Amino acid sequence: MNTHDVIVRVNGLGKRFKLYDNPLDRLKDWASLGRSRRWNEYWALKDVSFEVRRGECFGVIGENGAGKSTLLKILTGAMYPTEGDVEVKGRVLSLLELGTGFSPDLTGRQNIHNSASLLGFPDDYINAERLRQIEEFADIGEYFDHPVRMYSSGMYVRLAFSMFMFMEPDVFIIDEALSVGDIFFSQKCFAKIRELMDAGVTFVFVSHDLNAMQSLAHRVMLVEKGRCAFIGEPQQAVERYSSMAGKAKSGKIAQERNPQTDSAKRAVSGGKFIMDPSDVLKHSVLNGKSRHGHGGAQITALRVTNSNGADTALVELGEAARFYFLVKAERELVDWRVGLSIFDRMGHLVFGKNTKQLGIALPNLAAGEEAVIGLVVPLNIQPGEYTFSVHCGEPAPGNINPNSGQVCDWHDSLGPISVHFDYVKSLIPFNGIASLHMEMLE
Amino acid sequence: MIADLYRHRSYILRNAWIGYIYRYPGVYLSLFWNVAQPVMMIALYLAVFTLVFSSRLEGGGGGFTFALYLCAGYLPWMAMTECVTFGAGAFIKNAAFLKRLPVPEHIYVAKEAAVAMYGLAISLALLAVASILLGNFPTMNWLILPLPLVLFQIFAFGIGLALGVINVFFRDVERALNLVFQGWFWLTPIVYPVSILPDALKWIVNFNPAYPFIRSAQDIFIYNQPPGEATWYAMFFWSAASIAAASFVLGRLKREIRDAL
Repeated sequence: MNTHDVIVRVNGLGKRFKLYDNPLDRLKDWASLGRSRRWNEYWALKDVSFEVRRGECFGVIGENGAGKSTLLKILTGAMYPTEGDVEVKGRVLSLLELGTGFSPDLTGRQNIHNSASLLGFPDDYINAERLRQIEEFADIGEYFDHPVRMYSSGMYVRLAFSMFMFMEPDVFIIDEALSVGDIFFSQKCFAKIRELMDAGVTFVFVSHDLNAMQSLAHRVMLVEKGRCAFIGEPQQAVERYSSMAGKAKSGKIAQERNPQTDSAKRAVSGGKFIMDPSDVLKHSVLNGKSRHGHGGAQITALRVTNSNGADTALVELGEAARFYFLVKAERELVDWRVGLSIFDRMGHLVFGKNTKQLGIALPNLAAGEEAVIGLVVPLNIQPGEYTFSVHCGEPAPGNINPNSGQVCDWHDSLGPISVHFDYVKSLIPFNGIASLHMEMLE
Repeated sequence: MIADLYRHRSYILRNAWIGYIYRYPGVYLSLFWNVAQPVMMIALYLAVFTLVFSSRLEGGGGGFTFALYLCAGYLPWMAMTECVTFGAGAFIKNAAFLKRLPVPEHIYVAKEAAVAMYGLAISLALLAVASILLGNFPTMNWLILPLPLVLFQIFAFGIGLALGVINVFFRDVERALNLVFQGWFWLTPIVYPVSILPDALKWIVNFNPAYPFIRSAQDIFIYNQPPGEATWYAMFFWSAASIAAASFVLGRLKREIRDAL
């Protein structure tokens, strides 16, 4: 790597916040001229070092509160580091700023000028040609000359995004803002981002959108509690992140687990578990946030993997996701079933099916017995984020209606799981929420 | 600090103008209200102090002189308090920008100073018109007037900036300011001429930072004489001291402002 190609260099970066219990303490500290320290420190970032080369797209992922936004703000210059060096060659522009500088009383056109001057660009930077490009890209018609306060939120985003796309900085910092706006506009933005990347613009990209991360980033840094946990291939970083998310939760479940049942191991099929219960438990994604049921059986753990067996919260469209249920019977279970439901961003049930509907009769379980059930589902659903719920049930007592049953244990609001598709590279295999089986008559 | 202000000059001036025009939100005649306010005030002062109280300044002058004297001191004073008060609140008001944008903190205080300047320019222009109508004709000395007033606003900018920084950490500053301004107003010869102060108290005005600026405006506008040499020194001293204080406070606390907002 040529050193002159390094455009962002961060070395030993740390950011400490001073937390005062009481504002008077700060006054006392000031009065003491720095001799007293009545504050508690909180390090939002510590020992973070990385380099970004020209034309590279550097991704940053991590859980909420891991320090990602603090890092962005420091890179942008909107916050000062406590220790370490941050060196950025050239002009940085951040989408954190997306529309922040817009004044509601000014028109779109005036706001472009105004924001440019706010960001310290010279007055003649927004020339007629640049303005024309911005107007064309935003594609909001006559609204470009209407006051911004009349805009819908979509138009607002379009204007802001278009402006930033044409300001030609050396480094672009992009955060979640990318996920707003309609899909057509975001496609256009993704294409534009790729075009800029090819032209040598450097990107630092922070997102929870693991799809976008994998499709755009060259290298990804995983931030964990303010420290850099991993830097490397996007795929690896995303997998580490997904398994980290599972790991953090499985700790709790392991504690809840009753040691007496450990001995009661029996396979559902062929005298052997399809996956060792401890593996399911270790990688469980259950969060216990929303749970109900009549009891009788418990889903004690759930593991989600892709077809390669790696824990994941991200699959390609059409790729299969595997759900491993660890079920423990509290009493004798007869004619029982487990199932899965998938919900979209608006909470619509996209698809749900259980083992009974698959025509499978699960073997009876004795009280205290455990079973591992694996379900595999090709996710032929529209790209995006989904949540899912899992449940375990048995026939309702005394009811012969085949569609009635009783819930033993139900876990809601699990996930999310992302379905990814690269619109730029390939043809989307279907339109709509989910794919139905269709073929041409001969 | 100055370089930052220069770089963002067009933003500051443009947004100050927008801020001034839209000071009365949602009102179509915003600009009208901006003018009506000082017109009303000047007219009332003229009427009340000329017809009702028929106050007179020592050293003569027509019947309107006292009211004009009052306005000459009061309008710059108002602009100063406005700049300091809004300047002190500027960081909190613009927290959304400061938390996200790599802009120099003090441009928001500068914007408030510019808003106050626009207001002052308009109200002084109105006062000049009133003055001419009443027979107090402009002289060459009036051309000097902008200089003390700009120095006064620089002074106000410095104070506003220093207090604005402190206000981020102790939001009581804004409240305290109202009290301070009330006391300070009556300690400054605005509604009364300095000559009526008892000799034992006259020395106080020499330590009043606002006095040289107000005095200059009154001298030029009412007494038709340029400020004396000592007054000039005092004005330069106070505005420089205020900027120095602001630079010191900002330098010490700059790194923490955005953390605390």
